[in-house]
Amino acid sequence: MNKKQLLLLFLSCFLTVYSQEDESCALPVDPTMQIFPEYPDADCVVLADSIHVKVDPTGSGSFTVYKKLRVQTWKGALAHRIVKYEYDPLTAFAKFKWATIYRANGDVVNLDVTQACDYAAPARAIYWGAREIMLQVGRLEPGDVVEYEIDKKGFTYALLNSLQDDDSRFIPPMRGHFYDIVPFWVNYPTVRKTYMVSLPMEKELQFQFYHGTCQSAMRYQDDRKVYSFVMENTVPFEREPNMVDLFDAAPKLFMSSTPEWRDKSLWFHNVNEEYDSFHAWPDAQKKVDELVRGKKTEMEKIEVLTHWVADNIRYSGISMGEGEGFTLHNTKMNYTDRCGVCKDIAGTLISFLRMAGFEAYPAMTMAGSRVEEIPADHFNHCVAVVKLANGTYMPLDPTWVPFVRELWSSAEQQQHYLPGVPEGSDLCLTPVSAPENHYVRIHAKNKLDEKGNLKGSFTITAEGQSDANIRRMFTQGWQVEWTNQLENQLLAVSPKARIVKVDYGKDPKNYMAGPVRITFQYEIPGYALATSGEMVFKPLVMNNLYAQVMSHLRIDTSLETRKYGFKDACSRLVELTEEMDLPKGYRLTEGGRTDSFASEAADFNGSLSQTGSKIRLTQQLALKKRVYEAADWEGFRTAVNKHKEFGNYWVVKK
Amino acid sequence: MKNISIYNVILFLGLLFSSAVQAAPEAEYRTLSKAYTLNPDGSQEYRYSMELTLFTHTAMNRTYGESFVVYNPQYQEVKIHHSYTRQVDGTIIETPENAFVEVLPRRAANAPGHNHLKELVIVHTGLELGATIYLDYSVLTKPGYLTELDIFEEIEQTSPVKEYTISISVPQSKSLHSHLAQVKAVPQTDTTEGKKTVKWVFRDLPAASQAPRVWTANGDVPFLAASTWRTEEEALASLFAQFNPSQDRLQFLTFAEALTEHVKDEEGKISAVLEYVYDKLDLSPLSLQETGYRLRPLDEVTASAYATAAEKANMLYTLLSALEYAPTLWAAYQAEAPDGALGLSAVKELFVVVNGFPLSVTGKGVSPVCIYGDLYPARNVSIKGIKGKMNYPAFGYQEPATFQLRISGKEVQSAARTVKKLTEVQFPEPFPDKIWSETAETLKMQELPSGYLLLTLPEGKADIRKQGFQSYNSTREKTLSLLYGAGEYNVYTVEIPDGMELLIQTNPFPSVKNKAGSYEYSLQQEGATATVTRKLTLDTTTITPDLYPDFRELMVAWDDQVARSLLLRKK
Repeated sequence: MNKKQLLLLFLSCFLTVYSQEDESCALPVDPTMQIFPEYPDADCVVLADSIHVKVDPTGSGSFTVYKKLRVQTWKGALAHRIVKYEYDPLTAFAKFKWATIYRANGDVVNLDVTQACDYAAPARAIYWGAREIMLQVGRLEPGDVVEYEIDKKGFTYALLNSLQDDDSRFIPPMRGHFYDIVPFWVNYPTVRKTYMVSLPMEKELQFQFYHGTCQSAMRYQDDRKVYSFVMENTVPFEREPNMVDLFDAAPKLFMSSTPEWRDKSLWFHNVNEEYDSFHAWPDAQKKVDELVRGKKTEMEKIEVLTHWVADNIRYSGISMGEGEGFTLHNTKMNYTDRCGVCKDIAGTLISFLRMAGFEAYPAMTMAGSRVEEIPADHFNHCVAVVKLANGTYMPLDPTWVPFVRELWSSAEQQQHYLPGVPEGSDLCLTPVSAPENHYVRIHAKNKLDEKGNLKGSFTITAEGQSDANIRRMFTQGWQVEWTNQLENQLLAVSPKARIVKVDYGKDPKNYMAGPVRITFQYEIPGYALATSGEMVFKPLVMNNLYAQVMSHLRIDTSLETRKYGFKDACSRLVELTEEMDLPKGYRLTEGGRTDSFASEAADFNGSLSQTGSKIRLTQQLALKKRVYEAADWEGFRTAVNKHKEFGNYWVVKK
Repeated sequence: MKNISIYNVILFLGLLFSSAVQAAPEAEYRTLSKAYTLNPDGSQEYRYSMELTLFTHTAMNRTYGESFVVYNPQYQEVKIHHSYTRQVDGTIIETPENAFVEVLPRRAANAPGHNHLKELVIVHTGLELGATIYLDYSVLTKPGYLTELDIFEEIEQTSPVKEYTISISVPQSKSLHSHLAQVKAVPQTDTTEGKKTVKWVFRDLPAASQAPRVWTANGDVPFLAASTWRTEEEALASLFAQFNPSQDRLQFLTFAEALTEHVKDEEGKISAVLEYVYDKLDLSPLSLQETGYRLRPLDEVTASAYATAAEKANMLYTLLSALEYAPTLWAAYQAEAPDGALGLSAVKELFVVVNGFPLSVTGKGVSPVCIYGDLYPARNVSIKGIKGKMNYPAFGYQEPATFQLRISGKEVQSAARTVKKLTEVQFPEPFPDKIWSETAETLKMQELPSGYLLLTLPEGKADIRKQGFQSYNSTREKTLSLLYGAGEYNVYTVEIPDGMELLIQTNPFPSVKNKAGSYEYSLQQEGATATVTRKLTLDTTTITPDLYPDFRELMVAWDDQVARSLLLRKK
């Protein structure tokens, strides 16, 4: 026996071994055991990946999750040393049914699934008791195949990521209804991916397969309707930098037995009214009365209540037990705990608004990707709507606007939401927020001497999301670090920079007083490279200054074309001006220039000129959306590149 | 010579700016107390109690909303004595049952062999600005889990503390060694009913620094080390007893031989073992403390395909021992303290030395503690009585790294010969000798308006500039430690082609010599050849707050973009 064989024998001593040598000789060669020359560099090839669901009349689903994969590299081996599966014990149950390793040398190992771990998953911010099951597969080698099956019962709500006699907890909250959201993109090359659902004959199901094609079929089988969807020979989705969420671009299957969104809206309204989530609470009423005292208009009241809830109900979710996930905690719990997840923060605001005499309701939304017409519960966030005097509903999001001068975060513009209102509602979409609502303006006046030393000052002002970004160091940072953080803004331009003075006003945390405004005075020795006859330097306002708020600069504009939509943090208007006073006799070698560009996605205007000893730079870049179509790329890219070009080095000559 | 006036004025203005702004705290511990008890039967109790008042949203919303207690329920139990919030108007909000949530510690994720560990999350409810959190709990440990009391604690907390009490109680018969560093407090000792108690009370402690790279090893971070181990060696011996039991020797010899079957030379065999430990065993981030100073048997480690750092050290040590390469096992401590005070909780990292090379157990290359020279005191675990110092000769820069640059159009062909820093060195390269490496690359010059070109001079892969010290804030109150071999010496020889002229800059950061070291710069041109010489010498790798302004001046000088650039123009 050679050393390699000894090694394998040694390793096999520590694993449960069940030899199937006799049976393997009798079986035909398994085509799934073949080498896959098409994917030589893949760490792993998934041979089969399937989910079979059996739906009960109550809407509860029993899932069989099956996977078979072949490890091809050591990296793939380490990646699959465990198999893990998440579930929410309040609404679901999961267990490993069986698991087998087929070693490259022909050994077959049946893993002891009774040794699988079932535990409360690590948690931060949301403490609802989500669980995981984990099975140790252990040491694998390239060429090994792993195959396993998991049984799951129940449903998942809100996408927040024993067999018992009483299965009532597995019945979805919208009783009798079933929905599923199935990503069909893959992380490894996949030979065959299948989703199959079987329903009682009386149930109807609407579905759609997006962003690709699959083999789909519906059959009548054993008095049930069986829908199947299959994709073969799929490779990992090729991502583009800054692209939209995979749900908005990659193959996916949505299905739902709910006819229309209005039905879901009504259900969401009713379940929370029945639970009495928004019942007034005396201590909370006192706070509401205190907050609205002296406020005259409906908007003043809505603003003060929204901002108080946003700033003072922190994000930390503890479970109320049964109903958790889709039921908003009641006013007493929210106001006593002063914490919750998005639905509880929204719930607090709804209660406050009702206590102030408004009509207000919860709404579901999906932060980060689109919601489709098919009413599957593709939501991950909860917000509020308030009815204005003119009869329209206004969306509010207290979770996303702590210390932000908005009531609905424009980081959520172009986002679908579904209000749970008494008359029912269709899906709504928040509008684009105009760039000027999120302006960032930097105006600098600088002076350069013949040795390349720079002195000057700049003032930065901002509004909306840009204000929140710049102000964050005050509202959410450590006061002991304010000095350092402000200094860091100049050090990012040049480590040689020295702040002489900075003025951020008396109370920069008071974000409701007005747009943020900070003025810096500074000196930067050796800012420009100076020779005997010329100097070379970049305009300060475009030299890495406050890069944190210029998220468009983090979008890779070297791509010439895009296949998919792309995203920025927010729409934005960037206005930069700089006056640079040069030493006597120095002139810009390139002369002046102007440039402008307009498109549906972005506009740009810029100019560079010199009058006497003063160079003047002006820049205006308007980025008009948060979520862009692929067709917007040309306009966006052109405008941003034109803007960047003005930030290149200047050469001035005597 | 440097222009003293402008830089000193600017430095003064910088200090003036920073001192004018006084920072208020986000929160304050009114009282904080930690009591450690070792009982005669070997059981232990750790009792924690705090009263923490929150002043700002930063404290309330982002920092102190939850408390986390990691424990091993196989041997430990958490007992809550009280947990509530007192609001500003005096209303008491008791922490409800559903706010005590047990989860798996994040660091135990994907580790089936450690899946039993638990983290109790206590969500503090009722928080508002001005509220005070009251929390008092004990972690009770059964006998047999933790052999001795073993404490290593930094004293300063994230917020200021008005009164902080630490007490240690042990049976009178037990030895108790303790060492308090960088903070003054007279211990109060009491002996009653066979129990000996030592107590320290600290008042008006400032908050811990938030500056980067503040470590106890630097020498100015207050800490308490205490243990009931008789000696450091005894503590290390208890750990070493878990390494390489003799009954596993044959099995692991077989395994080691199989790993190295196709390799003939010694260095190749060691590299094959390293490849297994680094690339074929996943790393679990669980610390020695979190695992109760226990290592899983090596056969379990092998079968599970993952290991903690300590288990990787065991695997590496065992395999190399089996192959008779005479490795030694070392423990690096977080700080130095008198014998006996340092227990296993003070161990920062274990590493294995073979052929004089201190191997990292967590990644390829030199052990992370050893790249800082002898900053972290080390002990030889496998051979008793040896206190480390690895051999670190002075790393002078007599011979420069050289860069031959040939310009062609907008491109520059660079042929470089540079010294590898310890962060780049990998076994079997000699340690800690200077290792030269040669590289070639093509650089692009930046096109400027009007026919000008800007060449940014290349640098070594691990140039000190990449550590970002030049962008550190202008003031610092804590010591900063640098990597062994900090310093640079680069000579660039640039061939200027016909059709181009070099424009000599007149304002590079001038050469300077100060208390932290020196920076030298020169640019000379002879015919078509320009030579740029830049040298950074650091006289010490321990940058105290006094030295920090001078050190920063050198870092800014080294980063100077003017000196790192050449401006050319097409004729």
